[in-house]
Amino acid sequence: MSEKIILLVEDNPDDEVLTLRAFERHGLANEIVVVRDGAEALDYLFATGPYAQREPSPPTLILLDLKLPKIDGLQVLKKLREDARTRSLPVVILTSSREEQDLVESYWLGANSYVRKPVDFDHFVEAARQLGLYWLVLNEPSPRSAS
Amino acid sequence: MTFVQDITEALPTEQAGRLHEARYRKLIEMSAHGVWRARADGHLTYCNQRWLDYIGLDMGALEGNGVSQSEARLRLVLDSMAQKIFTANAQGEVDYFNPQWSEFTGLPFDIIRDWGWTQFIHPDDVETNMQRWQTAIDSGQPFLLEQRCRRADGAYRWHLSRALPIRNDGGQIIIWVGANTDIDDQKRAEGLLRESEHRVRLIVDTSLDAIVTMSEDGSITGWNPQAEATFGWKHDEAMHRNLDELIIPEVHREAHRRGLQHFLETRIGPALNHRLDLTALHKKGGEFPIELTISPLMLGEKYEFSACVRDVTQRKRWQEEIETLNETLEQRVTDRTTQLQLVNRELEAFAYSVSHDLHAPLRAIDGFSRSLALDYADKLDARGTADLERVRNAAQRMGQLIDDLLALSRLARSEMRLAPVDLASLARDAVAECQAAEPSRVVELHIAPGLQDMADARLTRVALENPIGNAWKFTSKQPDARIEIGVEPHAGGTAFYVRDNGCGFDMAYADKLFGAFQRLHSRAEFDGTGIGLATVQRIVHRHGGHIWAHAAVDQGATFYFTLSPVDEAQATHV
Repeated sequence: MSEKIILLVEDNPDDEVLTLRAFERHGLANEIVVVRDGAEALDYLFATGPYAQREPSPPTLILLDLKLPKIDGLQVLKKLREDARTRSLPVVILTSSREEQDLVESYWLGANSYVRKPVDFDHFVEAARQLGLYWLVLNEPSPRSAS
Repeated sequence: MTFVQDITEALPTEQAGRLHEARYRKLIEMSAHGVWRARADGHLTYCNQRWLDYIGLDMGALEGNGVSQSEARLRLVLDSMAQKIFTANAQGEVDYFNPQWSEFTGLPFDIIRDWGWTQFIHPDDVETNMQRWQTAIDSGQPFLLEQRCRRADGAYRWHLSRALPIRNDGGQIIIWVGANTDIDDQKRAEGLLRESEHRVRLIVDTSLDAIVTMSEDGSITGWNPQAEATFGWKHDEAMHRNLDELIIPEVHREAHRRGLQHFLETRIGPALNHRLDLTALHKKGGEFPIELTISPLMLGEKYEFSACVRDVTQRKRWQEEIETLNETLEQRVTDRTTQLQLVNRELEAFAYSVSHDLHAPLRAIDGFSRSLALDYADKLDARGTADLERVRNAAQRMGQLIDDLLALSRLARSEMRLAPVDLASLARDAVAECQAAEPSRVVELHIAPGLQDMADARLTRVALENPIGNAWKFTSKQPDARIEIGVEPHAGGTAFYVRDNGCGFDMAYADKLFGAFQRLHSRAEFDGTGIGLATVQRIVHRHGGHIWAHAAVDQGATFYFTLSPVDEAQATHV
């Protein structure tokens, strides 16, 4: 529990950079791991494939985009919630979608939060600050996920 | 006197006492009845005075002076006949009417004798009668005539009159004997029958259905004009022909014969008295659909069968057309629905992709511009900084446009849930939001009570927020801004309105109000994407309502809308 890792699942390089910068402005950038599609996210989390050698320490927070190559965000979320090892990991949906259907499904599958990426960068930075503050500082993680 | 009684049997026998006989004879002499006695050969052996008075003879005449025994015998017979009998001499003068005449006419013999009888003959028949009678007298040929005779009560009744001459050994006519029979009842019945037959004939002849009758042996006994038209065979061609050979298609013939045979044997005919759908043959050989009813008629000892036949070719054709149309209609509806569902799915996919993909580059544009401005502020002059600010504004504005467009497209797809909606409360919420965004503004607000309708609450909220937001916006330069939300009668229903005293607009541009991206003000004057009223219009249309506006430049604007269909004919608006 020495390091609080944020796993950012994001396929858009611009969004990746912007998200990193937004967190960077709050001194959180060094704790972000980026994976670029749903399959890689699952490999990382379950230490499989390219991440087979990784010591399986779970991230403190997962920022999950919905529209992803290979396996989409909702599928990733579903798999995480089906597995005891990842069931209680905090997952924040960070997406462009404002479709009600996505919102409903995300919560139904067990998302902890749903944040729409604002166009205005200042708002985005503010959102990143609040997310970091809440999930990395204020929130007490479930004992099991922190093991 | 109407009573003649043969008492031969009742008379005492020769063995009866003389005293008895004398007393008895006296009684008979005095009887009010005519009494006579005759031998088996018809020879008269006795009659009383009453009888002599009645037949107009005296005993002497009866016994040989002038009137022969045979004549007396004849009269005796004639008198007792039920028919009205008369006799006339060779000259045609009637010298005898039997009592039935007086009984019928109410006239005594003296009045009607000789030529007096003409008075009880119907005036229209007298001349014919006289002529015929004269002709008969002159020619010695029998007399025969139907004529009307007047009864005692004045009613004329038809009689059949016949008279035959009786000749002596020399061939001379010595007497005419005539008999009249009352045939009035018979004639009346015949008349009624004729009338009834005529009526039935008219019905059959003018029927628009073919009416065909058939005897037990299967031959045609009736063929009305419509049957000629329906089957092509003339009446004379069809009569007495075998019905099944003439009009029944070969495939049905055996069933027809069996059915007929079965009915004649058992009196059971399941096909009788029902409407049947069959086919028939035309003279030209074509087979056509018919609707048919067969009824058995008992005529005397035998059956006849009447068939009512209607050619239903045209009706079948129409029916088939309707069925085909219905089928294709259903197919068309299915096709359209499928197409619509496809379009809807495409639209949803499109909206999703717009929502997700178009935002990303905008975020990049805005984010990196901001990054640039922050990180390289020292390397940018004022113009560079301002340009970056414009880039960011443009990106954010495009983001807003995309959001508004998505909201508009979502309205078309979302499900409608109709329930009573309190528009006044929605209006207050909308104004409160505007007020929260600009707390310093003072706007006079009037919301009418009882703003209620059946509508989708979520959509109605949007439909109110837009015009109220507009009213708020367009009164911003008005020192004593006023917004009024109310309802007024419209075309048999009610129209809600949002009225302001803001800058208004020129009605010449009213047709652009409700188009997406259409704006009547520059962005320098008033901000906005130009999608708001298009959204409201879509909401109103989804409720079956209308939206319209009245305005003038610098004199405020009023937006009206209805949330239910109104009578188009009554609706007059821009």
